[in-house]
Amino acid sequence: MTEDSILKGCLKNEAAAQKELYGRYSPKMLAVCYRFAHNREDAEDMLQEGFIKVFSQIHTFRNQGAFEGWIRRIIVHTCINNLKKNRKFNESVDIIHATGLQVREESVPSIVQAKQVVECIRILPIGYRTVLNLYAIEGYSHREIGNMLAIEESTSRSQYTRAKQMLEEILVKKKIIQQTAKKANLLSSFGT
Amino acid sequence: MDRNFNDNDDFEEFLKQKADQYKIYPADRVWNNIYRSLHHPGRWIGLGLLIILTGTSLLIGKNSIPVSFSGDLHPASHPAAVNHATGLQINGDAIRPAPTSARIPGGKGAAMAVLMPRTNAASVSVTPLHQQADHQAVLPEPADEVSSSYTLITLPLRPRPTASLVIPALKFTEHNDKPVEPAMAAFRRPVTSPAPGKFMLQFYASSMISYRRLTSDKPALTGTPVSSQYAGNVNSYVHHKPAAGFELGGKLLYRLSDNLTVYGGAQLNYSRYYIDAFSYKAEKASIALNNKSFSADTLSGYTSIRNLSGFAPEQLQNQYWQLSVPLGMEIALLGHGRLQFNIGGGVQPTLLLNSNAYLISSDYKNYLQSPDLARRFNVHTNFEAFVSYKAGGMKWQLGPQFRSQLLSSYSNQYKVKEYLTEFGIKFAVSKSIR
Repeated sequence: MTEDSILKGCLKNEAAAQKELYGRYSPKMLAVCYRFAHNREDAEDMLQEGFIKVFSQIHTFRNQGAFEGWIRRIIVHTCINNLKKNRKFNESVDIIHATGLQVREESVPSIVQAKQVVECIRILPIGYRTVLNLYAIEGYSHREIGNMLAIEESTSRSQYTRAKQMLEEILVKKKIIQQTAKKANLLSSFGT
Repeated sequence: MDRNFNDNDDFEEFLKQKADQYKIYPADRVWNNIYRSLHHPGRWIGLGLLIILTGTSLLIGKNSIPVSFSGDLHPASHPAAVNHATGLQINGDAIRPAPTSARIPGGKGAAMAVLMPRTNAASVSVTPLHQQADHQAVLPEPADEVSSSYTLITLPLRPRPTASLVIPALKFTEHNDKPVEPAMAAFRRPVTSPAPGKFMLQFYASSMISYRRLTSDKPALTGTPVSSQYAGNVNSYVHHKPAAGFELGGKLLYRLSDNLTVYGGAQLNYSRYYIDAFSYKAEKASIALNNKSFSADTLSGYTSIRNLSGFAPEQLQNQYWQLSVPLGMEIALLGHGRLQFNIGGGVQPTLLLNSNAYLISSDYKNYLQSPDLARRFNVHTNFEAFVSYKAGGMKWQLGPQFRSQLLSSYSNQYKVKEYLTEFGIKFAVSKSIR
């Protein structure tokens, strides 16, 4: 099925089209949820809630951008709304965590897998992780993140800076990247 | 999103690329829940209606059973009997009340009647990643040496972990294996996602308003002390008012699927209603009884409570303390995640612990007490609808409930049948225990 026919089918509330759309995008969207969520079950709950919103609001899609991007925005907002219901998340996202992580050094993996990078992101404290996910991966600005999380824009910036430092340390200790020439290694690992 | 990736930060590009490469295939239940939410809300409503109809038909079926009566209609066909509680003795028609035991302690002045000869009447698994093939089978990437070198906590798909989960998501250690502390503190939060355990323990309380419905055997029997001018529907001759009671209980729930839960438990019910009556001088009152051989017996006694007129108004209370074993099911009809709309229902085998009830005499003129006529074992049905909300690892729920008694409050010997119906608002809190 083409994306256009899927869209038309979903607008008619046809189960086959909905399942096709779900099958096409759910693996990627679950990975998005997983980066935000506390665990796999929470991620699946977020995905479920997000896709119900997608199907119930599909008439609002205006073909002015990528369909995947539209779905992704709904999923990300669903994740954030779920996180914001948790008091400890709201506290952690507004607090500067000064303490570094203690990470055991690992042998250099032969192939840098996306999974290892995602798992390293998930090691971060939830406040750091959320801001890093939104800024570095989802492409939101610090102003937008501030609005989404109800924090100051400057807080988002400082959270991101620390999150980035912490993640770099983790990646170095896991020998996914090297400390002396991080960027060069990053570039070299792109093709792996 | 007003920011593009023009910052040319290699680190961010690296992260984005790797993150976008990552895919996780969701469990089938996710699509099933989405599909059900989008297409089949009516199916569960239909099932709920089926439960209601079944309960209603049970009630109607029970109450419409004709009561046949035949045999010797002479009063007090068993000449002598002593009620051990009161000392009242009946010998044919002669009644000689024992002076000190004619009144019931704590009663409202009604005399104790005497019964004639009676017929025998969300755990968390902590495992190295390389051992988690079953949990991670849906992930496309195989575990490699990185993942096998540190400890990763993952949550199995089935069963889900308990709600009291407090864990660091990943535990990295230095060589001395000291646990990673404050930076990981943000991970230590109670799981507030839908309750993951199969078993849940629930405690609940409900305020209940009790109504009663009376029926009587028809036609009025010749030869029994039923006044002809009062023959007819007993409800026309009594003035009863509903009163507040309560229900307290606990039950164990087992989740059969995402939408269906079965349960069993124990609960205490206190039910009561008011009776408007009048005080009067002590006079003899009788209750005609059915007995096992369908001959007529009579229960007689002295009472100072009149039904329709008297010296001064009196308000009596009929009170029942019951212990029940609720067995039934709950169905999630609408909603997903934290907020849901549910219905539930079941049966409740019930043991009467204690009662303080006034019975109307056969001529509808008087009220008297006779604990011997109270039915010890009964069966109730209940139906409830409630909204549930999951927060802080607990499931909170609130909604109306309806409870109905299938058998009369009194034994089959008493010709007037009383069926209690209770309505209330039930509050409950549940927690996963596994």
